[in-house]
Amino acid sequence: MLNSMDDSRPIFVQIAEKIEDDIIEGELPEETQVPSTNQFAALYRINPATAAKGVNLLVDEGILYKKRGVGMFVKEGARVQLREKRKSQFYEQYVVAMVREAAKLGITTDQLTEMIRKGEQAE
Amino acid sequence: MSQVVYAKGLTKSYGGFDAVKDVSFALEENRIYGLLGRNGAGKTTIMNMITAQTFPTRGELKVFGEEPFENGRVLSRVCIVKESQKYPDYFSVRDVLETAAMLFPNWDRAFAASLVEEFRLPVKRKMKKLSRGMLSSVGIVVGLASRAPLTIFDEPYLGLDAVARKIFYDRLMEDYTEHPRTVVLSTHLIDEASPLLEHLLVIDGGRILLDEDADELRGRAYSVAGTASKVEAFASGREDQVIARETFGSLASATLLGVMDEGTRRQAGSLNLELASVSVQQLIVHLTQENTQRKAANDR
Amino acid sequence: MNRTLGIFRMHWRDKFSVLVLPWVICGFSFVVNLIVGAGVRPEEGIYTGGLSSIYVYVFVAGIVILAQTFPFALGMGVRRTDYFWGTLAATASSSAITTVVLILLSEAEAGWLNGWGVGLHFFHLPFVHEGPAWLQAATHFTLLMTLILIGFFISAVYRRFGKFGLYAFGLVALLVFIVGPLLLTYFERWDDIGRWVEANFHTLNDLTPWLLLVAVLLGLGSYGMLRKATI
Repeated sequence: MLNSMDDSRPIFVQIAEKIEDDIIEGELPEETQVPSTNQFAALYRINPATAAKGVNLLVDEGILYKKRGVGMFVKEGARVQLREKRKSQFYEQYVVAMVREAAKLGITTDQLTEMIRKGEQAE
Repeated sequence: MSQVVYAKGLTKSYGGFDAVKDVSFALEENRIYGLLGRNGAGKTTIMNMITAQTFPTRGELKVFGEEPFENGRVLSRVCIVKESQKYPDYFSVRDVLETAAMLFPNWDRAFAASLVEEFRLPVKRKMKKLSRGMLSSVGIVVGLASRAPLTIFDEPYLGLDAVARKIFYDRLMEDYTEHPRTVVLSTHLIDEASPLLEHLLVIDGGRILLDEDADELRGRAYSVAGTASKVEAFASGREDQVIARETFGSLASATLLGVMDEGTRRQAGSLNLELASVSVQQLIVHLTQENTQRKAANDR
Repeated sequence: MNRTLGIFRMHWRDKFSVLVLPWVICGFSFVVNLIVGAGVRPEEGIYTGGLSSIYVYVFVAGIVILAQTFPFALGMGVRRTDYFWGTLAATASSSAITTVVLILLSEAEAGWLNGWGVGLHFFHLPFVHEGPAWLQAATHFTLLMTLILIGFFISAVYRRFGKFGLYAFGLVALLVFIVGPLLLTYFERWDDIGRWVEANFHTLNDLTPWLLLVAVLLGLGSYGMLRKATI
């Protein structure tokens, strides 16, 4: 494949998500430097301006900050902040959809809880 | 940011046929543009006018703020690489590259040499003995090594395999980040070139159909698929957003302009419809098709 | 770098077609004549028009050069004006070299080589090679340039007006060369022309000013057409 990006969603959002994932998973600890826009552009073969937009989105959200003349760094507290954000997204994206699908299939709340426990053991 | 190309009411007629009709747009410095559209849409004509290889019938066209015709200040800063580029039969690959080195002020010999190696070009071979892919590679080497402040690639990779195309994209992006310049890429391979493009111009029937940032178009449309009656139920009330419809017996799909928000998700879910996002390539195919159909309907 | 110079050097990349090929063709014609001359050895010597091969060659070269390099140069972002002057300079420089070689061969043939020992007159011909060497050189240079520019002009017609423009041009040229002589015959003016030629043209050198005029007109015409030519 020539592309690592999904061309049906804004790429700057995808870049922001990739950085967020790395922060949440601890790949990018707080107070460490984030790869440069050009590095992102080369790595994912995307337009540098688009990559910059993704990085700037996270600056606006207070996840990254700019050290003049050095580059972008992960802010202290970013990981916690992102986790909270992802938790509410998790509810919207997964829990609500799951409950709806369960209702369609006639799965009761108790059965659902039981299934989640089983899933945990399989992990 | 300064404008590299400015076109207003640009028109090119051949006899009674308008290949380019009343087109207006601007290209800004150091951005990568995609010039997209079907064959015969007028892309090549526009690029030939920018490089003064053909002349506008009407309208205004400024390149680097000046008229391009016979203008050395403009033309020495522009490099066009096109599928139909002619080379002297008796020229070898080296002859072409040496000539380009003399004609382009920013030519980088070392870069050209490394590209020749990567594309495995036989420098001593005559141009007329090259395969289609090698011919394209020569154009790409010229386009990249010229480092022209405005570099235009018109379908640069006919006959090139995926590996060679990847080399092209990689070197283009690498060199672009080190030596920013304005790039116009015209291509049919929208899917693979799309991530490199910052801004898109879509041409259809000689007119500009779309002039927008590429990222604005990603996620601009979505499609629903399922039982025909359910798809219709979903589409009713959104008629003005529907840009494409297809039916396969009792099944149907529809493509709609708009954001896939929670509301649409929920409604599609309750109707048991499959929701999918639409790529830039699919969106452009739908839009150009719809444009053709609408024109046909108007003509009737 | 100056782009006119770039075009000049572009043409000179193909040294074989400029420096070698015309002499190979001319040399072939020469060798055939030499063998025939050695075999026959007539009293009055052999006069041959084999030298014309080099003039035919440059005429064809004029057509080919424009057809092959103009679209390429335009694609490389060269101004039509730069292309024209660079190409003119390249053809002038190659014509100058050809002229020098021709004059040297002519002098040698007439002088110390003494008709190559077989009475062959190939490079030194009556009417064509008369007067001082510098005048001969001027004449041959002008003749070479005129022939190149005729080829160049024909190619420029094609570039500017396409296939049908070239047909139309060919038709007009044909009419001039057919109807012209017919008219002269009809009005019985051939004798006048004959007398005029006899009075004014004793050697090829007398034709040079006229050739120069033709060359300049062809050059201007070609330039005018190329200015408006598209790919």
